[in-house]
Amino acid sequence: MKIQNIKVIGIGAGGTNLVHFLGQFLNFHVENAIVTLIDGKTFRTRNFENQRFSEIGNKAEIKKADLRKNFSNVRFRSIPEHIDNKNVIKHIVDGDLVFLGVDNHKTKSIINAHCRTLDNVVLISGGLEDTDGDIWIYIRKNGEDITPDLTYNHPEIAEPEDTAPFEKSCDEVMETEPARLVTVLAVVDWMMITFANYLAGRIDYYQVYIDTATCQTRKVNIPKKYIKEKVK
Amino acid sequence: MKVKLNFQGKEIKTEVNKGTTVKTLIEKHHEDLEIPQEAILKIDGNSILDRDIELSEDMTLEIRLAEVTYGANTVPIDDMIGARVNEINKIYGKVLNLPKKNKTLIQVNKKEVSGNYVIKTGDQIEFVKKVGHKL
Repeated sequence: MKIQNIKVIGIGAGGTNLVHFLGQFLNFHVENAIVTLIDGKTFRTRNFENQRFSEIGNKAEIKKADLRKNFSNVRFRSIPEHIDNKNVIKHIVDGDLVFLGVDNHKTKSIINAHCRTLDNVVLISGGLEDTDGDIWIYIRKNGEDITPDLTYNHPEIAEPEDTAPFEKSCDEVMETEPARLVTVLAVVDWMMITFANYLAGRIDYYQVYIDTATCQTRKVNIPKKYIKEKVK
Repeated sequence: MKVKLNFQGKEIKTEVNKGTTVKTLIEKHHEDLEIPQEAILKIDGNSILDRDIELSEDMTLEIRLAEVTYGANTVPIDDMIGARVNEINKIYGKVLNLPKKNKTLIQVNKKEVSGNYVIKTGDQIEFVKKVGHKL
């Protein structure tokens, strides 16, 4: 199976759980896969509540070492940095498949804006609030949007009001409430399902909403105007 | 063959011939159930636009006057025809898990509207849920 270089941005509750299943999948189904983990944060003892890691240290570095022990057929790399307006150009390049699991809209906005400038890229983004979650797949192929980008109907991404980790002090970066584990797993599950659907050419949606409290899931189909553009 | 028809809390089991379309079934019950032409039709939870689709054994056709969606949840709001979109939160806020001070984008049949929009038969209303902060 041919696959692009994979970048995973945000190695927190979602990221640590996602890369475990991603590594397992790639190890047995994809030859020569390269997965780059990107995160400037540090694992703390309190992260054991909802994150999967072996020791304290930079999230990207520690998780890379953990994954190498388990999945020898996959090449894992790490970049211990927060994504910002400058380094995004260096770290996300044409042909990448990007998993995005950060805990702020500003970073999502920066990455989305950069992906819009690339000819070929796949961005699978996940997010959650308490018992609700959502995933988004933004596909660009040969310089055209195949699905809507993350700002479509979502002004909170077009004009984010929060701050990214690179704008905060180290103390501020630590202070976020832990995400609810069952919601994390539901979102990670759908990110993997969406990845598998993309590989199988079964993407007819760009967004999935999940509510773990009401056990409801709803996919949002790709708007007709994008399908027409694809057919042209 | 038998099919079920759900409308305003009533479930009607009806006998139809093979090849009967949704359109024919609606026409058959148009007068006794007073089903408006603009009503939303759903089979297995999915909206159908093509009324020429053929019914199959044990199929359940659900008819809604209007419905509202927030995130993963969608509920019928047949009792809110003529009310303003802003009023949905009072009655259906808990079921939908809508924030009390909802400031999301509101769309009716995929077009943006204000909170003062008056709900009509056939409206599929969505409070577009903001994407989550965390992961």
